[in-house]
Amino acid sequence: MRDAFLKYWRGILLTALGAGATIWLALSGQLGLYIHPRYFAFTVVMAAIAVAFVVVTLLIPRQRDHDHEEPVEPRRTRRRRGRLAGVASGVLVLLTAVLLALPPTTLTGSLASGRDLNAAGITGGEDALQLAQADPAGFTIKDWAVLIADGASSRTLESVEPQLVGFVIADPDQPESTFAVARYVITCCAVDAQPVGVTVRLPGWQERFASGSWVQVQGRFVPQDDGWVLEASSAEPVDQPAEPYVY
Amino acid sequence: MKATLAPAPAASPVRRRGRLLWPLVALALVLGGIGVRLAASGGAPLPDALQDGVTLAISVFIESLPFIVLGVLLSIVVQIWLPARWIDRALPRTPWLRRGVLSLLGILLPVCECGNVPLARGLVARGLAPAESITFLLAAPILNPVTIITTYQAFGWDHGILVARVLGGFVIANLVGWMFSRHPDQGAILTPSFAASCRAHHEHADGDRRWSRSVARFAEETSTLLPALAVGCAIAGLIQVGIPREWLEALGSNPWWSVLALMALAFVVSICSNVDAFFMLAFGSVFLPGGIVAFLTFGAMVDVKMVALMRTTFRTAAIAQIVAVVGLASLVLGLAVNLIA
Repeated sequence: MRDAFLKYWRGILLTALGAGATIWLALSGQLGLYIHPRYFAFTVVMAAIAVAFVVVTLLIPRQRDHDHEEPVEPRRTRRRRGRLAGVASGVLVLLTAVLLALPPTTLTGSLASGRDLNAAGITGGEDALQLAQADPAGFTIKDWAVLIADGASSRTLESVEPQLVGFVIADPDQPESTFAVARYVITCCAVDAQPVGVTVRLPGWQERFASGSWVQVQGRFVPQDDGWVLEASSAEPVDQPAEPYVY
Repeated sequence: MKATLAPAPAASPVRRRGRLLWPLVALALVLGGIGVRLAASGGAPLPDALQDGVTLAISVFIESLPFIVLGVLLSIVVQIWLPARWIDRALPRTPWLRRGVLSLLGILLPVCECGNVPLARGLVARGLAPAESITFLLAAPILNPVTIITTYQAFGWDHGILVARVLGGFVIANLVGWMFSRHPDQGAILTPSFAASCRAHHEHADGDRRWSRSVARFAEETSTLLPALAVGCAIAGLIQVGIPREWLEALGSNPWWSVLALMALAFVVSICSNVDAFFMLAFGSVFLPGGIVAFLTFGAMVDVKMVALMRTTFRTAAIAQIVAVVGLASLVLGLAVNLIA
């Protein structure tokens, strides 16, 4: 009886916590910190359906047929299973508590230092062709990275003075003078985040910014080795933007 | 016939305190969280690695939750609202053909792998053999239109990656399904509690209090699946920050190690099969095609999150066999692609 009672209400409580947190993130404009915007509608609709089920459950009397299930497992196994379910529920409550305790946030720049820069989403081809014909005023860091990776003409790159906002990744080869200003590109959720960025030359930058901090950089592209770097004319620390990812 | 339970003994004060402990701890954690939030007023009090682990875990959970809810809803439709004879009529009688058709069910129900777990549970509760539900569970994440289209968008026809993934997924799922169909006691594949739940389901007549049964089923399924999902997400998030990815990437150019390394990565990252091809693009220039195929096949069927979810339904021994066979078959598939491509 007690097991059936707990099993019934634990599901309702956990659903309310998970779906409630999802809806709260959506209403506060922070759902984008965790998943791609293309999934917003689906995620919120399913969370709303889950909440509707929770409300209906509270309104109608509990169906008790399963209270009479035969006890097919030895008591020890049931105890162990109960403990496991308790631990698992505890993890979910802990995640909810952490979500409440910490401000929802993007992945930090330190995770990017362990991943290849510009390995994802830098496909060139049609993307680069479309970008070459577009107005660069609205270009994201990913757009510039695509253009540079695709070998954009010097006329395209030298004629602009872009202003980029991203987090700092120290250049492992020339840490004193260059860094990458980067963002994470995601295709589904934060788990598939890959850093994309543009190399910036600014000698002595480490006295002004920490690796992983958010900066706004402005400058002109200049050729270097077999690529391009942004020769910074100004660079200021800024707060993390409301939409930190690019898509 | 139902067994009659002896009346429960009155709870002692110690046991009553034990019952109250968990809700009190949960309440204290939630209130503590709110307190820390109010006191901290922004900023990140955790070290970067731990904060990233938490962000990744929450991200996987929020991404998976709607699919779990959708899967539970479909499971309720199959268990309570769909007449059993419809399913029987729709499926062939010949076992291998029946499993073949079930492995294509994902074309009609394109939810990601975690959403397929409640649906597979619903199919078993409706009378399908556990071996048949395993075939569906393994095949559906790959043999569905969303996965096929995204894999094509990412890789086109290059190196036969798309063909190897689709055909490989079909063959591996049916191989595992056939293997489990040889088990003399199908009920022994399931956990005792789920087997009991299925037996209880069969005792209900159709049309009997469907709405209240639907709500009860929703509560029970979420009660079983959500804690498992939370644990799977927490492990996946923390492992990702614990294992440096460059270790795996360093193995990319070796025909053997590229396959093994990407299978390990697939198991850890627990990414949704609908979009894993885009994620894999990041490694396209580093790893050989066989490794990519192994990632796309193995990861869609088995990962940390899926193992946690499967534990709600199948015995540990059965899950170990599923992981082993899917792993070996994916390894062979990956090596074969490396050899041919």
